[in-house]
Amino acid sequence: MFYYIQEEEMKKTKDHIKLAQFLAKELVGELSEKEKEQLTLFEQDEEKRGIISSVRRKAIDIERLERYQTFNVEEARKKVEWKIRFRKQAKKAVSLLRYAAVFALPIAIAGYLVYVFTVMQPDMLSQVPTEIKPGETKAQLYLSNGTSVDLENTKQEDIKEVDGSVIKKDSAGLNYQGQVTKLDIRRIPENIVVTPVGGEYQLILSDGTKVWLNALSEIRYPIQFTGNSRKVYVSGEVYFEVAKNAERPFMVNVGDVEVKVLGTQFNIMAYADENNIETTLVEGAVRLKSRDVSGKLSSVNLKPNCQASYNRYSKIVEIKEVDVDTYVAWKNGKFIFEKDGLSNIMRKLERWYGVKVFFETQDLKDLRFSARIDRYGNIENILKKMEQTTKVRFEVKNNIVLIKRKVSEK
Amino acid sequence: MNPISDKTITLDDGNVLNYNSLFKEMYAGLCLFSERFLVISAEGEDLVQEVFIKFWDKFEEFDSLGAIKAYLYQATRNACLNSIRHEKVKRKYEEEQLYQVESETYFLKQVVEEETNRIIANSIDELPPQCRKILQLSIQGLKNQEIADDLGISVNSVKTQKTIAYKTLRSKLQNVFDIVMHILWV
Repeated sequence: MFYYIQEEEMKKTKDHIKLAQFLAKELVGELSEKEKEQLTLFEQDEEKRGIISSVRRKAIDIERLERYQTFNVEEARKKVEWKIRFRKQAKKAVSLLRYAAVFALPIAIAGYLVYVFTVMQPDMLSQVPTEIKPGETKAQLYLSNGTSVDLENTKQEDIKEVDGSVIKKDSAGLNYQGQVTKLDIRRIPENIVVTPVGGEYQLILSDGTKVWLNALSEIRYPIQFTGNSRKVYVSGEVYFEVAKNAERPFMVNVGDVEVKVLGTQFNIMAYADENNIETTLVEGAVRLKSRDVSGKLSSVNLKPNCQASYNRYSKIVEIKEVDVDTYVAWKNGKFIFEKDGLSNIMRKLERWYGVKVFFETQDLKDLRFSARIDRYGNIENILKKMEQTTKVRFEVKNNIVLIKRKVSEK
Repeated sequence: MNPISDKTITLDDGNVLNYNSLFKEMYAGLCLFSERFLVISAEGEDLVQEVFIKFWDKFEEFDSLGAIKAYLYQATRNACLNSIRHEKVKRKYEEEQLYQVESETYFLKQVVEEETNRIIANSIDELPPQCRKILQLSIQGLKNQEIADDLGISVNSVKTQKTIAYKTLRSKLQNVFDIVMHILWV
């Protein structure tokens, strides 16, 4: 569903923005005689008259004005910055296809695929990578002043934060341990590490907590933990091995869900395109806090080998016992599928191999499949295995995977 | 290493506007504006960030502040409506409620209310802290003596600071106004 901004609506909106300016002046008692006349003109219009009297009635709402100060605008600007950059990079690879997918939907996709698979010569696709490669160590570090550092190369390096503290980088990832504690604790810089499609990364936080980031994931944390708790913000999929410290609980914020732990190992999967936020506990204990539909906070405790699945829409948390290995396999360099739906599996492959997947018919998405496969291997191996045991056929061209029903052999 | 990028455009009236200052000016207001449409208000920040991401590529196409603001309010509204429609599919969103928030009348009313708040909030925000506090208490309807007792300062001091506050506010609002007048009366 897309809306186009109409000329007429644009004019009306501009007009109302102008009205707001008069009202703002009136409310603080700064409206001049001449401006009063202008405002009277606005009041001729019946619809505007209603709005004007409503604004006057509400007057200045101090509590609402104070909320203006609660936003971290700088942080938001940084987020926008790196999202613009990452999308530009991603666009290079699949720009044509994205365009088709977003604007013209099925017809365009079908047309494009026919084009790719039948008409297009291989050299016409020179800007699209022709070889599908598995993911690798790759990420971007954003420092507190918004500058970014490419973490693709693994050579040993010291990265300097604005306050002078040093972040160590080597082949194992980033390491924030051993920070000098004389920092001004009121302004501890925050860093963000972001992995792109086909990227993974590891880091050690200042308290010794180990963090593994899967593809297309993000973590934000202070370069040094101070105060009574250790708080980080994540999205995508992240595995934590939290350093024990009973006095300072470790808190992971995933938007709607907050996970509080003392010292433990667990995995959080919170991709925006997945319906559920899954927290899988390997060891120790965690407490999960979330809001239900009415906005009420509730919390549940999780035992090892259990998974809490929070549905983003119903806002209900379900707990079940699971085979933990399946959910943390990615961190150990494997894909483990246990009767997983094909659409689930393909979403994982999309993130890891940077491919774009299309299903010929919807029912193919529900086919189930089990396997244990090396994550660093060729995608062809996985697809071949699936072709052997399921009723599907994969056509691969460049970085596009088209899934069709297998035509039964005679 | 790259610092935060910026873009600059020259408006119809000859004034120069850059993306980052506009972001700073409008971000919080648009987030609060988005809450007027959403079921889950926490989503608003993400949606507004998306609006600004798209706006980055469009920025150079604009030549007036009025048009930019109108665009940002409309784009934010549209993003919110898309989001709640999605919600509606997932769980039964009340049809009547949806109908109401989708209307143009509702939209225009929210624009006026939030834009009014935004102008006042931004103007107050630039005042020195003590001044701001006094102004806030005064707007809330407290008498000078009450403010003085509340903050533990003399009544005279309250009076002086209040004068400074209003003077500053007046000049801030005058600036806001000049820009608008220019755009609209060209």
